[in-house]
Amino acid sequence: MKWKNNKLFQQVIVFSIPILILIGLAIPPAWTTLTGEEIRIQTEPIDPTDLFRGSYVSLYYEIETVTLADMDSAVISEIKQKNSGDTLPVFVRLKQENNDIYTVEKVEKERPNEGIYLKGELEAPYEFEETKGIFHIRYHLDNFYAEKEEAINLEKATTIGPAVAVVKVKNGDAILTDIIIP
Amino acid sequence: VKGVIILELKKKEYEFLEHEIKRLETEGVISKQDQEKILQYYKVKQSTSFVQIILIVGALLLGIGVLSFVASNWMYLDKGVKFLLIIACIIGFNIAGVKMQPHYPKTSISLHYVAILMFGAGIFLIEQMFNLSINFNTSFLLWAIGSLVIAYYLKDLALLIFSTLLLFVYLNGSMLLDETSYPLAILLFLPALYVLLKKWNDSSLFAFFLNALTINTIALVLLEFVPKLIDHDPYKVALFILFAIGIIITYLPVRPQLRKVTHFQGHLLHGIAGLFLTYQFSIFFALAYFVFLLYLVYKGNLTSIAIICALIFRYYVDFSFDFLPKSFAFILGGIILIGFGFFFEKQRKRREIQ
Repeated sequence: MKWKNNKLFQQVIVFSIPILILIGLAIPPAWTTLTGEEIRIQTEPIDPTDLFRGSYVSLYYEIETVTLADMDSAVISEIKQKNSGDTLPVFVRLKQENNDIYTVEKVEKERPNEGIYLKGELEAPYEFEETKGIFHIRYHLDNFYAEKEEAINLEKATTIGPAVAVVKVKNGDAILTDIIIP
Repeated sequence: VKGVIILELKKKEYEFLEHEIKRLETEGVISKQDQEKILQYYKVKQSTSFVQIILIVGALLLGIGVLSFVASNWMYLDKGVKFLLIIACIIGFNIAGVKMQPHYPKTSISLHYVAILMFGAGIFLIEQMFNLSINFNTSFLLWAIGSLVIAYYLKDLALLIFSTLLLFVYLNGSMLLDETSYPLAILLFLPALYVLLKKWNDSSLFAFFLNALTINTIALVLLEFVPKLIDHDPYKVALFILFAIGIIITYLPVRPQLRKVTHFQGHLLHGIAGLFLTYQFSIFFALAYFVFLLYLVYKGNLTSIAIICALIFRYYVDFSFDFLPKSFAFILGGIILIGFGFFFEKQRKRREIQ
């Protein structure tokens, strides 16, 4: 086993691991951004800071809130069995409204064959009876990173009217690419 | 020499010894062979030099600078360019580190430190580039993996401890801040790190951090699962299990070089858990624990004296404000502390004689 004793070979392997991790981390979102379909969703930002990733705008989306009527029967029966705090992976089928904004059409258990849809996590409520039929879905699209000033301006502008998030979608994976202030 | 204990001396001590043995040889008391043989039983203790400290601080400043540059989100440089820049810097610093290793080992290692810190910055940058809202504990796990592989290859203790600290963030972040998924990777890392500990000749510094990580994991598992299994007073039960584990650790038959640090951590654990338990249980628990501590002190354990002091202080504060006139409480407290000081000194002396 000559290669095992080759010092240069060992060094190349060891020191390329961080690089491979970084590239591996970047490929899936880059792929979604490059090849995904662009959609727009209504959103409301606020502005906090993170120690390592800097200031960002934390976003709340219209499509995060769904009602019982939006969910198909399989989702409803499964979410009833979950403990509070647990989540249920779901697919959210979206439809395009007249003003170009996408809204929730149906929350489903199975991956849709066609159309625009997002992967999400449906949160089980504390008391099923007390939810008044309103549920919350997480999409992991919550953070938009921007320089401190830009983040503050974005937040100020959106106190007047709601903003629109530009999102690239590919096979249910979504990457937030921009925020537009109307 | 195989099979003998080599004593590590400070540089000055070693030089004195070397000088003396040489003198004895020139005086004809011992032979030239004896001189060489005796010196083989001693070696100079490697301590952190001034140069090393400067290099490490420099590497830390540079690395933290890059981390906060990423966090600053400077918009005049495209994010893709920033990413390529970071990749290029990581490769560059690692190559420079490898090239400098033969002649400048200390500078070389500090260059690798910079590369590791930049690797962390790279992870955060990707999350920023694509507005990924994944939780920061996953980032720390990836950072730990990269750093651990390089620590293992370079056989560097500081880097190994740094990786362990990253795992601390991963573990506690997953369990306390973001409760969506369990940090299962820790179950893989703990045994792997204990294997590494053996490779590092049972370094007690690394053992301290690793044991702390293990105890941390156990504590979090108890806090998470005991309330799910027991309805009545779950946190009291969890605390008591930790207390018992602390006592078990103090009796754990570990390898000789790890004994001191591991047993110390056991005492620390049952001491802290025990102190909290005195608020949960009746005074009889405290009394029984007190007797147990006295037994440990009698056996020569000095950490227990600190726990006894803490225990007394805790009750002293309780009682003095409840019942006793303040002056009397202070007098009593003073006598107790002086008594313990005397006891402590006597105990140390007894150890020295032994």
